[in-house]
This record gives sequence, C-alpha cells and structure tokens, in this order.
Amino acid sequence: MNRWLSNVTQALQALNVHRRRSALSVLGITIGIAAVMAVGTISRGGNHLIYRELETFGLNSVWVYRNWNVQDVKLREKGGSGITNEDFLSLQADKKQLGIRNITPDVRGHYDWVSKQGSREVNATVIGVGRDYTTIANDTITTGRLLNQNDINTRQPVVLLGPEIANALMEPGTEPIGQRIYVDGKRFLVVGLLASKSRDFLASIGSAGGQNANDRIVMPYTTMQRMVGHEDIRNLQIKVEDFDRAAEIGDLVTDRLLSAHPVGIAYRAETMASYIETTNKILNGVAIIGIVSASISLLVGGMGIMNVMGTAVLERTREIGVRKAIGAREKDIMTQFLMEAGLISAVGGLLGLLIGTIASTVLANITNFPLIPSPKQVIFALVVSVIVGLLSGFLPARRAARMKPVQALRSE
Amino acid sequence: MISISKLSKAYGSVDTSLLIVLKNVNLTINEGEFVAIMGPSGSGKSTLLNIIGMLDNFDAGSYQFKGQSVPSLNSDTLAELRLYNLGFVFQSFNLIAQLTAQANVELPMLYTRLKKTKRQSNAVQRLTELGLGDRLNHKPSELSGGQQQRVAIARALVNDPAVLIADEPTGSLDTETGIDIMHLFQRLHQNGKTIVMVTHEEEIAAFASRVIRMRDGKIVDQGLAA
Repeated sequence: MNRWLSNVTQALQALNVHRRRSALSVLGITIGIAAVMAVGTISRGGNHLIYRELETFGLNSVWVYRNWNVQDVKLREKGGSGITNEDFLSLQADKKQLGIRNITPDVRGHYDWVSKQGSREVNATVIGVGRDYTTIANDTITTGRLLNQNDINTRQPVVLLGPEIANALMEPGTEPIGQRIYVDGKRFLVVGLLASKSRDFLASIGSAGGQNANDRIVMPYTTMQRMVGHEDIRNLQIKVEDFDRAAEIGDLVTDRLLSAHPVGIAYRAETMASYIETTNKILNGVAIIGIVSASISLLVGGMGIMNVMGTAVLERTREIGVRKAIGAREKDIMTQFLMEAGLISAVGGLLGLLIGTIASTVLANITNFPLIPSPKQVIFALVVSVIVGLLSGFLPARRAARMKPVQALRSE
Repeated sequence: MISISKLSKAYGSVDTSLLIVLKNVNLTINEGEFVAIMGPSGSGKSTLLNIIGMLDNFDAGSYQFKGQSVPSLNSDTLAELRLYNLGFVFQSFNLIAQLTAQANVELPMLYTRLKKTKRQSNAVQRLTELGLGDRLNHKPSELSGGQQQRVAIARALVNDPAVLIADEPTGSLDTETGIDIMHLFQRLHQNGKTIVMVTHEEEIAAFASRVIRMRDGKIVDQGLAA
C-alpha cells in the first residue's frame, strides 16, 4: 500500500513537470468520457420518457382487431368489424380463465362529428367504451366520476371529457361536471374530467401512438352503438395479468373470435410488448451510434496519452537507466509509467463525469427532457477511461521497462 | 567477492566493423578493497565497470559475484542483486530532477519492502551523516555539485550495498570538492566498504588501495596506489 502511494506520488510529480502536456492529454479523455456520459444519459432519458408515455396506453395492453390485411379474399368477404357485444360479454365472462385482468370494447364515433356547448364547438375523438377502459388505459379523473355499469346497461347519455376538450368547450371558470354538451346533435351530461396525459415525445418522433390523448370524449359503448346505429365493436382492448403472456393471450382471444365467426373473417392481436420491442430497437440503435461516436473521442484521447507517454519515455530514458541501476525491476518501471498513464486517464475520467453531470443537469433544466445518469454508467465510464489509459500507456511503458540499463544511462 | 576471468566484449559484428572493447580480462576484487580503474579514453574501463555493476553484458568469459555466475541470471535477479548488493555513483550525479534530496535517497528503498517511515528515517539519517541534514527538501537544482554528489552517494549507500560502484565520481566537481568526496570514500573504505571506481585522475586514484590500469581493452598493470 505504502509502495503504491509512493508510486502515485511520484507519478503525480512526474506529470507535474510537464503540466500543460499532461493537462492536454487529460482533456482528451475528459471529452471522451463526457461524450459517453452525455450519450448514455440522453439515451436513458429518452427511454424513460418513451416508457412513461407508453404507460399511458397501459403496458400490459393487448388490442384485438379484425384483420383486413390478408391475402385470402375469402377472409375479407364478410362485412363489419367481426366483433360483437356477445363476443365481448363472452370473453369478459371467461377473463380469469384466459388470463385477462380487464377488457373493454372500443367503438368509435365518426371523425366529422361536432361537439358543442353553447357557441363553442370542437372536433373531438369520441370513444365508446366499457367500464374497465379507464383502468386499462391508466386514466384517472381529476373531478367527477368514472363510467359505471349502470351507465352501460341503460345506455346513459353521459361522457367523460379530456382536459383539452373541457377547456375548449367550457367558458373559462365553468365547472365541467354537471354541464350538458352536444355530440353530433345529441345531448350528454358531463360526469367526469380525465386527467392530462403526455404523449408529446411519441408525437415528436412521428409515432401514431403520439396522438393527443387529451382531446377525447369517452362515453358508454352501448350509448355509442345507439348513436352509430350498429352493434359492431371496432376493437377490444385488454389488460393481461402477466406481461410475458400478452402475445399468447392475444392469440387465445383471436382463436375464441374465430370459433365464434368461423367463415370469411380474420383477426389480429397487437401487444404493447411488440411496441416496446420496436421502441427499444430504435433507442438501442441511437445509443449504439452515440456510443460509437463517443468511443472515437475516447480513442483519440487514448492516442493522446500514448503520445505523451511515448515522449515521456524518450525524455526520461536516463532516469529509467538510473532506476534500473539502483535496483528497479522491469515490472517496477512498467508500473511507474502505467501509473502515470492511468492517473492521466482517471483524472480525465473524473473530470469527464463531472462535466457530463453538470451539462446533463443544465440541459435537463433548459429542455425539460429527463436526463438520467446511471451509477453503473458512471462506474463503466471510469473503468473504461482507466483501461484506455492503461492500454495507451502499455506500449511506451513496456519499451521503458525493457531498456538495457547501460544504454538508458548513456542517453542524453 | 568479484571474480572475472577471460572476459571479452565487442561492439558491432564481424560482417561490419568489430570494435573489441575488452579482451581476456582477468580480475579479482576482494571484500573491503578500494580499487581504482584508470586508463585513457576508449581503454574499456567504463565498460568493465558497467559489467561489474551488472548494467551491461559481455560476450565471452566468466563473471562470478559472491559465488554466483552473473551471466546465468535473469533480469529480475540481476535487478535484485543491484538493489541489495551494489550502489552506484555517477559522474553526472543522475539525481531525479523533480524529486527532493530525501525522495532521491528513498528511491532505492522504494523497490524493497521497507515501510514508508523506515524509508524516511533511513534517508534522513544517511543525508545527515553526509552533512545534508538541512537540505532534505531541496531539489537537485537547488544544490551545489558537491551536495548533489553527496545526495547520490547517500542514495548509493542507503540499502547498505556490499560494493560501491563509482564512475568518475569527481569528474563534474572542482578539485577541492572532489578531494572531499574522496575523503568520504576513504572513510567508507576504512569502515569495510568495497569500492570500485573508474577515474582518469592520478590524484583521485591515489585514494584507492589498488589501481588497475587499462589500455586497448586489456589490464596492463595493477598494483598499490602510488
């Protein structure tokens, strides 16, 4: 331990002799590590943001649709969505057996419907759903109540409003709950106000999932079916008990639908797992590109260290000779020069971490983008910087260690 | 202690031009001797000293140090022999510029297993014995030539080696300081230290108990100092 401390002290003294040169090589590593940190932090931040937004759909969700995208024309012969209220009720009755936690029908209103209150009117996304919808979609209400079974059974003209719709339809300062609004000319009572959901990041990367979740008008699916004049269900949205079984449960549901409608129809099930997998692939790709770029900075930093150590060995050949004459073994000389290279890179690594952390904090404050450094990443960056230093210092150190004492002593 | 027989060394190769620097050298140095090696430039005296100091190898002959055959030893064993058995004093001092006098003297002990406190106390003791007790924290550039050579001698002696190897130890010093250093060597010799020194000055060689004269790679004369 004592010896190591003495080695560190001597390495610091040696580096101190050429402060500017040492500082420049430290800078190379600092930039490299700061870049690695920045890429990792931004990547983790992006990951966190996307997950947070995907959670607004419900991570355990499975969507089941009629599949129109099939080669076999016979499977496109039959009209309608292929999902009926009986199908939904039958699946709901067997949900435990199927591994389903919650299930809701999704019936959509026409895109050109106008919703009004007084002189104010908007085009909203109007959705007819079951009682479990808000649980599946991780929705909460800020005021009022959720839809209940009675609303559904008796086709009540009640709605939940997304916050943007509420703002657009209501006069400022008006409490939405208890207000009456018109959807496609029919009168509805506002019973609940949905909490705001952010899908800005998904929208910013052009994801269809990024559509605004705050401009929804939600009503009982039975009420919606009366409005649209048929009993078709556009799709089923399911929350499964076990995330890992999502795909399998999707298949079970499509099988049940096929057995109920064996002719002229096909179904497809989509899981959040498949979206997450795609998102992860994209994020990993971005992270790999970033890390490769940052690694090039580290490589350049490492070459800087190699250059500095090579020069140091040349300049200090006589010192190496003296050390060998007084009893230093090859590994002692090797350790000494590796210690200097390691110190340059460790100091560079620490500075890089510091700069990376400060830059992340400042950026996070300016942009509101969550930048999340990880302890593992910090350790990894430090280890990488020291390894870069040691690898870069290895060749010069070995050259120093293998010098013949008499030749080293003769050098000027 | 040191036994050299029919030792030869040449630089270059037969194909190019072969420069023979040592030819069939035979030399024995006993424990406690103070030997001066003299000769004109190119006589091979420094090469012989480097071989004795295990800093250089040779082409033919044998070299036994304390009964061990030196050519058969690997680099680590040679380093260990130098560490505990040999102390070097050079003409140009060869102190490490960025280290203080004390740190320079501590350096050989850094390669031993001595604890830091022991290293420090040994270094301080050696430097104080050589009259440098008030120069412990001075760097070489802040010391006179004589003081630097004393630091180098302290460094050479700090592991209490069996043999002190000195290559022109007074070559960079004025006459008075050189004589002072020689008085110091003489005291060490009187205390039983074996010293092998290369010099080209008769006045300095006169301090040795035996003088070996070389010319053209051969020992041409050896005997008591004048």
